[in-house]
Amino acid sequence: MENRIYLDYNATAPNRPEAVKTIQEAMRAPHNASSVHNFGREGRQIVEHAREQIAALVRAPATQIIFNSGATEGNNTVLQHFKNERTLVSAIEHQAVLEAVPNLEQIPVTPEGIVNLDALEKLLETEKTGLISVMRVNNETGVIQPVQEAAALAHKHGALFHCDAVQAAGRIPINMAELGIDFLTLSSHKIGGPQGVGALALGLCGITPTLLHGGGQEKSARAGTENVAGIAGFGVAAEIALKELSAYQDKTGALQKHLEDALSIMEDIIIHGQNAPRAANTTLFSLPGASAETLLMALDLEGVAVSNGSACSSGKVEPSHVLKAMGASDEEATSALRISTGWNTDENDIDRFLEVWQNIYQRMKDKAKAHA
Amino acid sequence: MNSLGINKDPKDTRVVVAMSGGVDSSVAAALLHEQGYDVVGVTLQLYDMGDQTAKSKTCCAGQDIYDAKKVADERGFPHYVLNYESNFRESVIDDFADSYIRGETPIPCVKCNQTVKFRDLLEVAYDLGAHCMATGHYIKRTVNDDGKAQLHRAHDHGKDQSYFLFATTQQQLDFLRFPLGGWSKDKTRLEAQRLGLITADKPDSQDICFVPDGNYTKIVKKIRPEAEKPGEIVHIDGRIIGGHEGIIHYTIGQRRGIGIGGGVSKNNEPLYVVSIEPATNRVIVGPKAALARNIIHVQGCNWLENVPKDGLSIDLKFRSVMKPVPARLMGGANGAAKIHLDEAQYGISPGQAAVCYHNDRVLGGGWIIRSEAA
Repeated sequence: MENRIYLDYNATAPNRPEAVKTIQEAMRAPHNASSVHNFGREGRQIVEHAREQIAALVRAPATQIIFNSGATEGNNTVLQHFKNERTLVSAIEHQAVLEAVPNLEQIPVTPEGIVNLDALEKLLETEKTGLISVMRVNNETGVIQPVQEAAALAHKHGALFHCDAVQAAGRIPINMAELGIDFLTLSSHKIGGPQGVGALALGLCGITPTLLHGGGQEKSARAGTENVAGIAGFGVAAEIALKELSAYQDKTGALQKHLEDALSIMEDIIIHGQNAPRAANTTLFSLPGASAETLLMALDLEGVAVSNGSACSSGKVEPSHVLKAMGASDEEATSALRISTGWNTDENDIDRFLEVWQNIYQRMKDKAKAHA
Repeated sequence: MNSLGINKDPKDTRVVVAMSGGVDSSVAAALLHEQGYDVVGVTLQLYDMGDQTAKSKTCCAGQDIYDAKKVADERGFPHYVLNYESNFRESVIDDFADSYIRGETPIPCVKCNQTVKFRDLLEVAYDLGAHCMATGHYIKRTVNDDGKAQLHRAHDHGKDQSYFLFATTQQQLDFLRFPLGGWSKDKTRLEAQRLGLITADKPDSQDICFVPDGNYTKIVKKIRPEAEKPGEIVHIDGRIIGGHEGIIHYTIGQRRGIGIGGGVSKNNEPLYVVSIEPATNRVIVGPKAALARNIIHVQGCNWLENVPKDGLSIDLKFRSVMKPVPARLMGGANGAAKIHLDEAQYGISPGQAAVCYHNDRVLGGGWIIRSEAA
């Protein structure tokens, strides 16, 4: 289809051309980074260079970065390590946290979608807690979470702190030590690197959660032959993301304003978390009474790719658990669309979205009028 | 006018095709696409495979969704899967079970067409900016000189599905299209082969989609475990002549498997289920003559034609598989109606539909609530 536009960066971002080029180069030779020979040493160099690039992105020492297959693995690795201890997670975490282990206790959020720190403190006072997990930026709303404050509360009560920073990387600055994060998870494909690569960054608590055991790779913290080419692409994407962060924030901020100014004047549209601090690339809005599933299809037929909250492979559409946690009605939670922009989005994309959206919106309004 | 009766170029005419994954709707979609229409295929996921006993032989199950998607991918038009499990459960499966508990013989396919397909899916089609929605049903739609759409039995009476579509409202009919209405099944299969569809040789589904093994009571028991209550089998003359394991096992007009030995009736005449009484949990049996009825009361009617005060001469079907019989339709208030049969008929069961025709034209119909001999 001509004229396709992509506004679903929070699901996966298009690969940066520089990352593709680096991956292609890295794939030309057989690189087992654990091998002693020349080929292996080349692979090792690629991996270690990428490790520095990732470390820079989160302001951590390179020694603290463990490569893995992505944030689902990272989150599982951390949460499984604490499966026998009380674990508190925010109610708006990704399924990769919420489903990682049974019996998690949830920390409620405010109607603006911000983790309720008072509620967290009360929970901490009731019983000894092993781990708290709060994401840095919510994938559906883009709302930035008070991670520094939550981590401080965790430490005050003798708990460790995990942060899923998948949607924060490349969107806002991350400084692990300043935020007080003990375990941080990252994903390559949300910042323009390849899919199937991620990292777990360790703070200085001395604990190394380990899920996969075997060949001793990643200092035995994550067994399995390193995905050298993927890691190389991840590193490049991270380096560019860091370098361009400020320009990216300016650009996506302007696009967000342009989009939301236009949406705000459309009757009945609700933009979620609009008054909370947000990543500049994400807008989640509802048109109560409509079905997000149908809206998504209608937009897709016009070549516009957006998302209804978090994508999931089963194809089952459930009301957004994030919006439910924010106290939204079922009608709001089942009619929510997420627009997420990124490094290759420009104003024409937003204009095209608005043009297509205007028609669909009008159709919905006409129908509502006809039914009234 | 294009072949779908819309005053636009086919390429500017968006048609949503409800694709079950079977050969009929595959052909309907692929043909319209071949004719240049802006085809959007939609398949409904109606029940969870782990949840029901359904196997993949029938519509709307896992394999069928895959097949529909494959047809769309190969022909090159967009296709979406909509999860309607909860709608289907509420509108069709629960109602199916409750109907059996009321002593009726339900037709879930009509309920599904009436709710999930022609209410919910039709709305989606509208929301997608479609100009019409097409299905692979064997039923004919024509348009009068005055622009009003009519429904007719399929050209191939053996495949005709009009009985299951009597509840289609005029408004729905205006939006619907049935490209296979004038076709025979053989022609559909030939077209499927010509188009190279993977569904070309797929067997027809015979059963209710969520009861593919034909074991209705198993489903009813699963949904309403309290449904299977033992009770009495009573002869119409008042004698208690046996026991049963639950009224859900019986259908009006049923002869086989009642579980009563000989010696009950004169000359050992066969016994039939004459009525089912949920209130007393009794199954009433009697000779065939006791099944004779000449008045049918219906409700929840849908009419595609005005029913005059003094009634209308019609041809009636009160079961899907039967030749229409002559009758007179008398309209009533609040969606009710009364049908006088010219000659008494046997085995009329509440829960079934009474569908009225004038020759091949579908006039509408209603749900049978009771019948009487007068």
